[in-house]
Amino acid sequence: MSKQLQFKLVLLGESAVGKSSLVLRFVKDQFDDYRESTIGAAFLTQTVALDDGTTVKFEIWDTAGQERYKSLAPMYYRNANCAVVVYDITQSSSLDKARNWIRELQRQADPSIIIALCGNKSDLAARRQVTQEEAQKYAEEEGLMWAETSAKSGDGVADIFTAIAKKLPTTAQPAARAGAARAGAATGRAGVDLNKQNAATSNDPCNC
Amino acid sequence: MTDRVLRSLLRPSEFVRVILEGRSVPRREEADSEAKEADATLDEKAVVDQGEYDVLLAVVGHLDKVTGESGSVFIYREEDPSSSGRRTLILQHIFPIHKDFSLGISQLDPQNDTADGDVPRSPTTTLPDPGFSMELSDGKSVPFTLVTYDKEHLSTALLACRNLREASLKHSSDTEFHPWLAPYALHPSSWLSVIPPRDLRYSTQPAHHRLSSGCAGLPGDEIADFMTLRDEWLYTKAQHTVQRDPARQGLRVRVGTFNVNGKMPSQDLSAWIGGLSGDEQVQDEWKHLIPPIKEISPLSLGESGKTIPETGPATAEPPIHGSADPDLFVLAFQELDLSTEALLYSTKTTRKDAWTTAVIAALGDKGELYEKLASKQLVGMFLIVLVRKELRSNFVGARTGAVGAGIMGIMGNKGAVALRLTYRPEPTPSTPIPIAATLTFVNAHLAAFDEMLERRNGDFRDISRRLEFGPCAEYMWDSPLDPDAPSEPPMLNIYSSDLLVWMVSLPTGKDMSQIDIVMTCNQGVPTLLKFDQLKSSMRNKKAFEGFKEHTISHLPTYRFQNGILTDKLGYDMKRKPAWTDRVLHMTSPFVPVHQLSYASHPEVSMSDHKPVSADFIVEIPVVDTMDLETVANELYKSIASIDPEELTDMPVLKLDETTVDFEKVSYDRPTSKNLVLRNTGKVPAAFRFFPREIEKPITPEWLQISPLAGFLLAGEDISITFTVHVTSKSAATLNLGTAKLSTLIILHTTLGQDLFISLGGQYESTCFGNSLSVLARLPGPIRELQGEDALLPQAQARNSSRELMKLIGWLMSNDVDAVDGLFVTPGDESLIAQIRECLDTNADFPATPEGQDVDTNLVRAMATALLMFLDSLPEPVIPSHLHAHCAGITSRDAAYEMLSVFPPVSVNVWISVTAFLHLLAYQAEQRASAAETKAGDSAEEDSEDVRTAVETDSTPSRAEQLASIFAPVLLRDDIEAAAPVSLVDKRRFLLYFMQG
Ligand SMILES: Nc1nc2c(ncn2[C@@H]2O[C@H](COP(=O)(O)OP(=O)(O)O)[C@@H](O)[C@H]2O)c(=O)[nH]1
Ligand SMILES: [Mg+2]
Repeated sequence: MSKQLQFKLVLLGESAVGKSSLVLRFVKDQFDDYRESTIGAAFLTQTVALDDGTTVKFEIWDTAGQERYKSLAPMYYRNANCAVVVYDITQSSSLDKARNWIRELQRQADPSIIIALCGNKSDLAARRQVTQEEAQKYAEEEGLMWAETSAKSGDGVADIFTAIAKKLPTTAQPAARAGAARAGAATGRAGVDLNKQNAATSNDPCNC
Repeated sequence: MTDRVLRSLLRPSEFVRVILEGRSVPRREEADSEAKEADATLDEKAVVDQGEYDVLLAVVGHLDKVTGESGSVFIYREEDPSSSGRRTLILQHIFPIHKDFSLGISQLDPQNDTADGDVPRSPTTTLPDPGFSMELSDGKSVPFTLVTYDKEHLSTALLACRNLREASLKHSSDTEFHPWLAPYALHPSSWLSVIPPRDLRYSTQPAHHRLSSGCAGLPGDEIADFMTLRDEWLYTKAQHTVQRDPARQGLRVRVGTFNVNGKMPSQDLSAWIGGLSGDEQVQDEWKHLIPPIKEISPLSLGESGKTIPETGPATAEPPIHGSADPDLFVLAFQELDLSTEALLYSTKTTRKDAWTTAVIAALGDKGELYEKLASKQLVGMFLIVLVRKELRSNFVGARTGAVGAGIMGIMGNKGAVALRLTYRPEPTPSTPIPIAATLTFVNAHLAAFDEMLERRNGDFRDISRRLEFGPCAEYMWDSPLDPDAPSEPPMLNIYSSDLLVWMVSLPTGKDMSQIDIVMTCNQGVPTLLKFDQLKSSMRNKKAFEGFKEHTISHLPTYRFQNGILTDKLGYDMKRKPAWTDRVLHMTSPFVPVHQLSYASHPEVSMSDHKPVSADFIVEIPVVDTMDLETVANELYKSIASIDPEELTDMPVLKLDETTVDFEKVSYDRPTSKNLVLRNTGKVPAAFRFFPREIEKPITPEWLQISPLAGFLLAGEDISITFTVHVTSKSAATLNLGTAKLSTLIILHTTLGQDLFISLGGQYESTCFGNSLSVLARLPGPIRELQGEDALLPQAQARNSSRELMKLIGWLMSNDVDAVDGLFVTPGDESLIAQIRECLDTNADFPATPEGQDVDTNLVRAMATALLMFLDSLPEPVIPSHLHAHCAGITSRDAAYEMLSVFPPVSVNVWISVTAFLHLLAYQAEQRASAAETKAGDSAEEDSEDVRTAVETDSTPSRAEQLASIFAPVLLRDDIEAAAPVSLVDKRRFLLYFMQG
């Protein structure tokens, strides 16, 4: 049987850059023009199948981007295996916010965390304020993955998550986690091979 | 005819499909019945099969709106009509018709037409045809076999069973249980509720205590949490629905506990037993020594409100009987027999019988009204229950239990005995099968002496775990209210009850002298609380967690000695008096209990302990079993199909607001705001609040949230209350502005998203709750302070707190000592708030109009404010690490030398406060001697005065009284400290500064 791994992924970035929309596109392949902005943190899961037969299950935490909730973000990115930091290509200020997040992650998060910088709303290229070159250069300097996406059209969305999945170590150390194990879901456990667990206990609220 | 008799035994919702007569075939295995437990007066067993008898087989159907038709086979045993004169049917077996139900039929051998040859043909059946043998089975319990000749009904019965079984497969293929059968459960004579009462340790605690540990970003066991909250919701909602406004039957219970120290009854026990309300006869002979109990002292405002749940006033509900006589006497004896043999074998019943006789004798004429219901003895521990005769039939089950504890192990002289009684209220037309209430009484004798505190707490936990009743076959029924229904008759813990009363004797010593006892009684429980080991164990959650105890207003019950070496009150001078005999209770939220009295009975002097009594009214709700089961089933249906592991939709909860602004928040003024949480998703949702880190508090000290967890069906909503209350615990950093009154709270949807709520307000700084060193560095009124940096440098600090000086200054310049109950009667809360505001803003105190006496209420408020101010200091005036040293001092000079060890700010505060107390004591002395002269002048006017004169002897002096009030504040105990320093010694230290 093929290998199944599980990773915790957190989305960060300024409010309204399209974090929740990216997750919705990735998990349900849907898009909403009018979404309520998140006041809190949403939890979803999605599985990616890789070419070598390995499947990677993402536990995705989509957090509120507003400044006032900033103090709660560490609760969600602690022991995350990967972070997707999103900016809006039509708002140059959102890239500054993204830089702040990246700096915070580099300082505070697990040192082995994989960070992807994601320029969203590529369908609105006409109103572009952030050039690809600028963002790509910054990403290279910091050693980040980078891509542009459109949650609206779906362009690049699956690709970035797949790219992350490929980059994740296949034999990571399990990260520290809450005292009581969640039946099957093993939140925060990095690279757990689910096949070794009792398959019947898997609980996936959104097993799409 | 048969049909009519049978009909009368069934509820109207049931119908009889067919009746068949026959005769049972005995089974060999059933013959051996278990040994009956010693001492239980009631028959605890369901009727045991006694071989061969005439039976009536009835196929009974039940029509339910939702589940449709379901059925069951009932086997009735026919009592011989000749003995009772009428036809009696006793329900013997129930075979629910579900998928595992089977009915096997075989024709009997015509030559030998009984099943196994030795059963003669029933005399009632005279058919010449060969008979049939029927074997009924539910796939679980032992099959039942009967022989019948009733060929005609046999085929109808077969058909009916087949139809009902098919119907049951259609509706609920996997549940083997029809809820409507519950009332007919195994106890044919007693319809019990189908599920055992919930564990009181759970039902008295909010559900969030039972959830897995988790925090923001790291949820715990989500599935388990979802189930826990779901089951809690189902249970409480079902109870609330049927109990919306239930009729109640008030059961009067008088509980007594008496450590008899191995003595045989040699005195009249009527004072203790007498059925009189304890309050009416509160220690007459002691009255002259104890000033009337005042309300709780202002010192307790912080703590006691939380830790001692006050039992409310007597209920307005009419008791079952017009008279105030108890319906139930529950009497616990300890140390019945101290002899060594008794520890090894408790075969003799003489002592037990002697005490039983003495108890009945003490009831006098009323003794005839009662009979013994149950009793249980283990070595020296004896528990007996008497019941009013007319209620005897309402007690449908009694079980006993016993465990030994302590050095001697199983056969120890310490341990506990317990009785579990089941009370079924009288049926009414609207509640034909009332739910029974379970009352459990424990008589425990725990380890003695102070040094054994740890072991005693261990004994408590051990008894709690090991004391069990059962196996309880009546709780075998599956029910939606009990998702983990046992497959074997369960053993029930003492906590599985609606009311649990512990009568406990815990011999101990206490560091208190007579004056302490009197003063403690004067001040009420708070002072006692800080010294009592039991209370401290309860506080530390080491023992008796969750139990309630009524305020103690009686003197210590131990240790008394006849003859020599006793002090004025009869206490043994060599032993420190203590409250060793206690009555504690715990009750389900659905069975309210009122404690009417809690008293000791000094008249009974044969033992070194005094007996203690407590009167309760237990308000038993009269709710129909079927109503509860129906409601529970309806509710269950709304959630049964939801499997949290396979949710098709994500649970979604929404709040009406995500910010809460409390606006202006003042010290010690709780304010509340509500948010509405609504389930806007398509599936039921569970929620809980999360801390930021595992095992950390969910809220800051100044914030409370209720409820902290819950469950909502799609479309339902709930109001969540947020209460801000700044107390001395959280004030220090808020006052200086180092902490802001603002926080983010995380509301977690189980298996869904987290919602953030921001809460805050404008906090008004106060001088209360700051350390003395901070107060001395205030440049002006604290309200004007611009942050911590604005404090004066240490070098420029004042030598005391200006606010404290203002309070003492006011109290010294007004004639306050004339006010009755000074420092004891609490001041008016709003006046106190006003005074505090004056201190915080440096405004003038409310003025007394020219030429008028100062207002009594203002004086009381000022006095209370002073005590509360001192009590709010994060560190007491004398720092805790110096207490032991102060307590060891035995001369005035040595006491004054201690001043050089105190921190400088403490020295000045100490001197100001003691100077003030000295003045008060001096004024009181002056007034007393003036009054004495006057009394001498006017000669004896009436006997009243003579008594007063006699009393002064034993009444503590004003200085002693004041020291008793201020010592616990100025040298406040560190609650966490392992060994608190004696109050007696602290008071002596304080008195050195108040005299001369
Ligand atoms: N045109 C366009 N709009 C988008 C895209 N992604 C998100 N949006 C819109 O941007 C707004 C904010 O999106 P949301 O996902 O709530 O952002 P979040 O606050 O970062 O979670 C919404 O109105 C979305 O419809 C995108 O790729 N293209
Ligand atoms: Mg969002």
